[in-house]
Amino acid sequence: MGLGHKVLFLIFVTLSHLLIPFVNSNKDFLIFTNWNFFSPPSTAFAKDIVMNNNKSLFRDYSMQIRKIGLNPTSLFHKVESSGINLSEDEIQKIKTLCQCEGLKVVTYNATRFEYFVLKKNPEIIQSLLL
Amino acid sequence: MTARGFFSFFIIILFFIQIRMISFVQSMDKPQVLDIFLFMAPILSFITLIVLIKKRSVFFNSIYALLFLITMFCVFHVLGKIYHSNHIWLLSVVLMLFVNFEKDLFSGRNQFIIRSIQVYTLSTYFISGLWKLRDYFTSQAVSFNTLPLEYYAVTFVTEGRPASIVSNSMNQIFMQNLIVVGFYIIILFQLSCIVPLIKVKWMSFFGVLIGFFHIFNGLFFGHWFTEAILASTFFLIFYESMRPHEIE
Repeated sequence: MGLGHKVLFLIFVTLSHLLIPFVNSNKDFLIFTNWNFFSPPSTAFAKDIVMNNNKSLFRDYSMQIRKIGLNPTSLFHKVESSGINLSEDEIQKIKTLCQCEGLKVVTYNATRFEYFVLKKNPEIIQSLLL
Repeated sequence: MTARGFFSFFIIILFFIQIRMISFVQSMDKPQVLDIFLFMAPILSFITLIVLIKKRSVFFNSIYALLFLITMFCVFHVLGKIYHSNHIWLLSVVLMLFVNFEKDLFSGRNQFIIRSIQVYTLSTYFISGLWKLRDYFTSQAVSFNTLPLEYYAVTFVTEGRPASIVSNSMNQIFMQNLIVVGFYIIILFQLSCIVPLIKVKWMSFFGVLIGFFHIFNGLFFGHWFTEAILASTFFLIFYESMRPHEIE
């Protein structure tokens, strides 16, 4: 593969990755990738699933998510991007995990670092029932 | 060395990836039909690949390509199609179908195919760096520190476990600054991955760098990209180190 081929290939890959998200509104590209692959969505506020026993899924049960057959990465980005668009199966598994009924998607007035890592308790901006 | 010898190693690596997929299905409480298929397709594709290495034929090529694509589709479906590093293997295995196993590893066509995989791998790192830069300029993060710490927080949550060595000391400003500096070094490193595309003699060196980059990622963030480590080892370091000196 000569230099010309490599540069051409590189230009093609780069342009497709940089331009297509603007054309198709950041939706999935083909079957195998998502634009979030390269970077997490950059919202300023932390989102989490909160149970009616006031425990939160990603803060209090993060170690157990894989054990119930859910993928934390997928679940986290679903909550981040759409909020309440979880499948019935996922909701049922979360309810089994917490042994509770009511689930809410809560948006906090804090960055993800403050909420998840530093474990601060910020004020609630929005709360949606699942 | 013929291409057949080189790709025999590939089978061993592929085997470990498939074991990982199978263990993922086994960890489920109630696997659905799609999950069962996820369990079966890697095994079938693995068996077909062994036959393919032994005897090259259009029939087995097609069967293998079909089974492998189904496997990958199932994986992405189950994993939510997000943050998955298997895409390098997806492309490399499809391209591998065009390798002529009887000919030399560095013959014209075989070299072109493996170069394509190398270019794809390295441009992925380069683009990843570009996207982080784009995030920096377009995000709502107002300070220099915010974006790296947000990335750290996402890894902290999605890995589903306390993020290893530094997690308890994150309240210290020093540790936060360490993450921030590390993040910007990563951007520089990812952008520099374009270099070996122009200067091929740097290919092995960047392969080693990528390996270390992912090992440190795993140690400090608990975020293992096993497939990416294997791909860089196999297609960047190993391939280049086998090149006879008199060629190129």
